[in-house]
Amino acid sequence: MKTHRPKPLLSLLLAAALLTGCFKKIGYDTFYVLEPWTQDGAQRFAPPFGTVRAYAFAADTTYWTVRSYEDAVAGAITSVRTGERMEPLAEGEPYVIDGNENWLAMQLDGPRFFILAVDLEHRLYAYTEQEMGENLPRLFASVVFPLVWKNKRVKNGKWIVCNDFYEPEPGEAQPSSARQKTDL
Amino acid sequence: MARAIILCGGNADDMKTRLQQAQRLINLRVGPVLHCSHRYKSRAWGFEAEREFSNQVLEADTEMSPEELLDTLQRIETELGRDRQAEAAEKQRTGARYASRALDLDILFYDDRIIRTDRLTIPHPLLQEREFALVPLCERMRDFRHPVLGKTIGELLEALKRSEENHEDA
Repeated sequence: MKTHRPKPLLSLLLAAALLTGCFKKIGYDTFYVLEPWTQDGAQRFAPPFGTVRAYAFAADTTYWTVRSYEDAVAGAITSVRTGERMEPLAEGEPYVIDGNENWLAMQLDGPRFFILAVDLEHRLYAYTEQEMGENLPRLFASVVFPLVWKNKRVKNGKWIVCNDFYEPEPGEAQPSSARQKTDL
Repeated sequence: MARAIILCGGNADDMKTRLQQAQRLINLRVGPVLHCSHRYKSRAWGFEAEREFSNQVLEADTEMSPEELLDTLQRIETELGRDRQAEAAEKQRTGARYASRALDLDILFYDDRIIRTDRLTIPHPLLQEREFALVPLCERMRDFRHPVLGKTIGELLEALKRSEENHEDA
């Protein structure tokens, strides 16, 4: 009686394919590109080259924060639990492509980062927690700095955007930390 | 990089806007303005004026030398309306040492350096006599020690207040 035997070569190829799937490599090495924008009402425009900085930290936004504009400029975040300060893993470098002149890029390797962006011209800063996809070689993100403010801190998409120098106009509700004029 | 402490003041109309414009120009031309004190209103010091003064202290990081900083601040004063000729005319008319001004930007400290040139004296030589400068300074620099006088800003303010009380009692 004839029996059917699978061809050895076919079996080997099948086994190799299965093994490759079991040991697929997962990596988080990502080229992160940040596109900064400034928004004045309905108009959005690109801030001039050199007026925005970006930093990445191995941290989350639950237990870490930016304490002040001075810290943002210096590239430092602070633990809300311990007060410990952390320096960045990476700082944004100019990334010029397709005619843009103010994008910033960082090579990051990890599943999650605290990203901080600083608008030096308008003295604003913004931060977010960024998850990196598996095996994602390149990630483009954008941050928008508004020029019209009604409070010291706003949530803009995934970003918390801060204006430590915000002063309410007369007649507006005063945030608890608003500047008050004092007579000497 | 040095930390410059700048006193911004004046008694023109709409000093809030003028001081905000000064902040913006200092931020652009001198270096990042990292902190601003509250604005404080006070009577004119050293002369009589119809309008109150508003004063505010800024902290800015700068790569400028003290002389470059002075030049830049004087240019900003002029752009934002300071008219030194008009001030000179008013001083001559009143005989006072000081006059009303649209904007005055004084360098109070440049790090903890002591500088004495024909154009520039740092720390500001009259700081310890001026409550309108010491009060906004105390918001963040109460424990900063005056490089020449050796006292902290807080101690200088307390000493000034005591001397004013004694003067009133006398």
